[in-house]
Amino acid sequence: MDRFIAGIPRRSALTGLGAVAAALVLAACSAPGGSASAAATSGPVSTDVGSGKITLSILVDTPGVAGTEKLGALFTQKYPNVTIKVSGDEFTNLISNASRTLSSGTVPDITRTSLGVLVKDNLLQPLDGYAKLYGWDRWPASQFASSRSNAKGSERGTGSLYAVGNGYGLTGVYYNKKILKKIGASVPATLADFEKSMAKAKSAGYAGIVTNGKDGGVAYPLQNLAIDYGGVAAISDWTNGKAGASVKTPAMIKAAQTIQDWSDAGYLVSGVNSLDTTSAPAEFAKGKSLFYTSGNWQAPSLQKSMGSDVGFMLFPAQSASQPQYAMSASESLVIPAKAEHKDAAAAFLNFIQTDSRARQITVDDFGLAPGGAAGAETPDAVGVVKDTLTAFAAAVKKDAVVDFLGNSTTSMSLTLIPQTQLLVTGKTTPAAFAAKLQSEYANQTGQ
Amino acid sequence: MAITDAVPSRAGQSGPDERSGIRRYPSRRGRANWAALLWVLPALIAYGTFELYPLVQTIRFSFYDWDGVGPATWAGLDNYAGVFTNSEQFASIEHAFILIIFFSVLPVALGLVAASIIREARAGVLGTLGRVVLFIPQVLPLAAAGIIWTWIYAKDGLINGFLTAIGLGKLATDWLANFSTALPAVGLIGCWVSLGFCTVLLLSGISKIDPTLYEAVRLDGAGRYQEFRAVTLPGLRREIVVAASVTVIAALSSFDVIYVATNGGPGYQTIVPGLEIYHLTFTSQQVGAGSALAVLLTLLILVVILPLQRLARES
Amino acid sequence: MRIPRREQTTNVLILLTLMMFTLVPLLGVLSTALQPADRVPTGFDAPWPLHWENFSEAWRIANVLPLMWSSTVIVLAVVPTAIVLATLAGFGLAQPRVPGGRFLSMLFIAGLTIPAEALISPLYYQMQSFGLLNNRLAIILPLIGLYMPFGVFWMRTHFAATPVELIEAARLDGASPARIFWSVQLPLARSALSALMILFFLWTWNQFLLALVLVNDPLKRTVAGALGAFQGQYSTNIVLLCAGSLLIIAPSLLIFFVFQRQFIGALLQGSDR
Repeated sequence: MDRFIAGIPRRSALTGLGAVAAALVLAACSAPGGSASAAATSGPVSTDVGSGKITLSILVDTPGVAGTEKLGALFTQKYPNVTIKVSGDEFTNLISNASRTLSSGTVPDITRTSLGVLVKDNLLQPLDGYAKLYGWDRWPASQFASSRSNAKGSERGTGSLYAVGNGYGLTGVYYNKKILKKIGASVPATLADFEKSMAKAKSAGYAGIVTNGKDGGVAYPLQNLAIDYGGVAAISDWTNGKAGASVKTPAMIKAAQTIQDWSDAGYLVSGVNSLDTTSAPAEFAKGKSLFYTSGNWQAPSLQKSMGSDVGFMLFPAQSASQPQYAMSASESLVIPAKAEHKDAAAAFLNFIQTDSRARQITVDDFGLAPGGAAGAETPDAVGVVKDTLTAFAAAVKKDAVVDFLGNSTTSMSLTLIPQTQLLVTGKTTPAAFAAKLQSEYANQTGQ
Repeated sequence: MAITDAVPSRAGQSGPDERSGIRRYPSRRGRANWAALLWVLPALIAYGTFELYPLVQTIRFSFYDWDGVGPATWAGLDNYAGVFTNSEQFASIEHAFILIIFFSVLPVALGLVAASIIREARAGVLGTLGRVVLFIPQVLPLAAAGIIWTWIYAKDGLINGFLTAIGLGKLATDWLANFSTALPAVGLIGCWVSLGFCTVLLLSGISKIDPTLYEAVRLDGAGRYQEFRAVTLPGLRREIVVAASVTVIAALSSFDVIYVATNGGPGYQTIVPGLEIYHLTFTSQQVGAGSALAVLLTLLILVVILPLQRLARES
Repeated sequence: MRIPRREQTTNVLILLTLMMFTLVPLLGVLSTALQPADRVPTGFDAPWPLHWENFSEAWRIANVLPLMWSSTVIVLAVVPTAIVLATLAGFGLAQPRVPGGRFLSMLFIAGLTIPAEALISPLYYQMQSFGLLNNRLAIILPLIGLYMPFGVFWMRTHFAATPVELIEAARLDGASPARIFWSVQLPLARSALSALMILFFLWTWNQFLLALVLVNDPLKRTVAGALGAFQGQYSTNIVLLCAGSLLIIAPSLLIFFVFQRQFIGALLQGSDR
């Protein structure tokens, strides 16, 4: 049946292929994509939200809609001519659709997103002018570090300010007070104490540490260990995307080795790779594990489920005299370059960071720590939520916060998560782990 | 997407044109029927604009290094080479082939069993109930199927609960996070989704088999298996190929279920091309690389489907 | 029936097992949906008391009503249009002596093998250049195009298998192709058309990826997109997710049960004219 290709006479099939090829040649003539739009300059800034009726459109992730609407209501009380319209989308969609949403015809005035390629493609409004106007530049600088970027978008931590958040996430370790007491240990002050406590817990029949291996929770203790062993500068450069930064370092390899040692010693809760950010706190709340490495966003629900049995601390350093570091990133809200009401948007951003009722909402509804000036009033809180606020204030004051490993490039988490899963199951070696992270980094930062 | 549910069956062939189903008019005699093309035009415009032109565009994108918004730089065949050198992208293709076993072979086989049984119970309540119930998963969005099964496979989910209840608690594990069970677990979801479709399709074929053949074979003393091999199987050749083709396309281009259930994990165990394309295009903003993988996926599907179609033609 | 008793029993058992395989997951989801909403369900608990309010909660959170409305609008725009286009084209291609007819048929069929992922990027930019991104047309138009391969193939196969005698008779009476189409072919195509309508409805209602990417406003997407509402950045509410999933699949299931005879009957209609 050679006359036929898939039942079609050969002649027709070849004509068909020829047509397709011709179309290809025609289409291949020019490169896709538009020319880069001009960089948005800071331009004239003002605190004036005007007197005419304005509608500010804000796009956040779905769980944040309710809280943002409350913030909006407060703002409208102060500026009655401004109506706030909040819409929500799934978090992962927000991030992946961001570059298209912000370059399209209908652009929100404020949106929640991560910086990604947005800076490079000039889709964001630099906020330096507003920072000066509202005095944000006199606040502790480290809270804004992860929201700064150079003009090319290749390195963060320096350059113009592009985002602010009403609240900040902060990583740390939750501990079960009842178990600590039972094993006769106190809150660990050093890394060595931390490990000893886990060993004691294990022999008493408890799990040493819970973390959400399914969606990358292992990276938190890993990063803390790497900072403990090798200092913060190398990690900070890497998470900021700096040229020449590397994690293929003895410190990182040692950190990865420690994680594997903990896994081999049985300190990690069983089935760590099956726990995600929903099931991990539930597992910890069962009361059979000593530590849970996570962040302040879990505090409200742990307060509810564990009450006074739970406490929060920053990850210990090697010795009591060294600073304790935490990872932190803001719930970054940006003003798109094409936004219509930039001044009003900036006023809103200032309001949510400074107004005391707004800051209370940040704690109560978002479970996050508000930033702001050094002496800013800490919102009311109890129990472990209060612990996280205190820890945040202390860390920011000492500039002891860094960005997350997973934020070093737009898709680093696609590598970090599987690699940590391989690490805890012994399917990769610490050296190979570090090398893989570094090669992905090099690929994605074009080095 | 749509492709997963396609039912290209040969409606009602029993005449002399059975082989191709196209009426063969001698093409050299008589005037060419140009007017007929007018009927085809609207569909052709829709298809050309929204499927063919985008496909050509994808091929074009695949030769560039582009983040989707800014300017693009020529990359030649780099993106294609990348698929073969990048271990994750290559593994995704391997996984897609493994999924063929679960998305295609298994449901077709079980569908054959179910269809034969329903044929025998044809008018009965069980038969009708059977084909209705088995078809239910086809009515659901694939994403919903993924979510439903995520919970069932969970450490505290239905399957482990059941195993513990019957005393096999030792076998309990987090099926979707366990390196060795993740891919088969995901595959089983695909089987669940496609079983009803295969059953119904095969039933449509079985209903065309002359019942007297069954009678004859039973009279000769044949048991169930001989009856199956001698009458059912040969008569269903075309339908089996159709069911296989549709489910193989579903296996190779799977996205919804995996995105929702494992997102490629644990490690890289369940990465499939559809998911990798999504990651490259939307998460990493590497539109060129994503497009190259998409083109390769399309070619792969063609390469697998064409021989399958051949099987249907040999009668 | 000469089927021995024992075989009949095994038949029943096998079929029941397969049916259980199909149903148990759905029942599991139902039982989870009825648990207290702030619980992370541990294990296979029989829920008591039954928390029916989870459904109304999920309804509210996932914006189920606006999304169902959105899905309905999209279905009403896509399905009739696609059917009309596919039927006309199928009829045209089933005519004798169509120049390039075989090539066109192959062209349509080839579309069946193109995965949606291969088209997602360019479709996005195309809709952007048409200025349709925040409009449901951004999902409606591509879907119509994407249904053409299967639709044209399905209808062409049906029309081509119509008995020649009927066509000849009409032609001898002097009927034009359009007349033949309207009076002869269309009435005969009822079952093929219903099958196509049902399939197009299901595919559109359950559309996920295209809606996600092509339509910016989540409320203008399809009902399948509502599932994401329960998956936050930090946690997923499993109980509400199960309730939400059931709500979303309920209309399709309802329609399916009411029309199941036509649904499956139409798909089984292969040989009936």
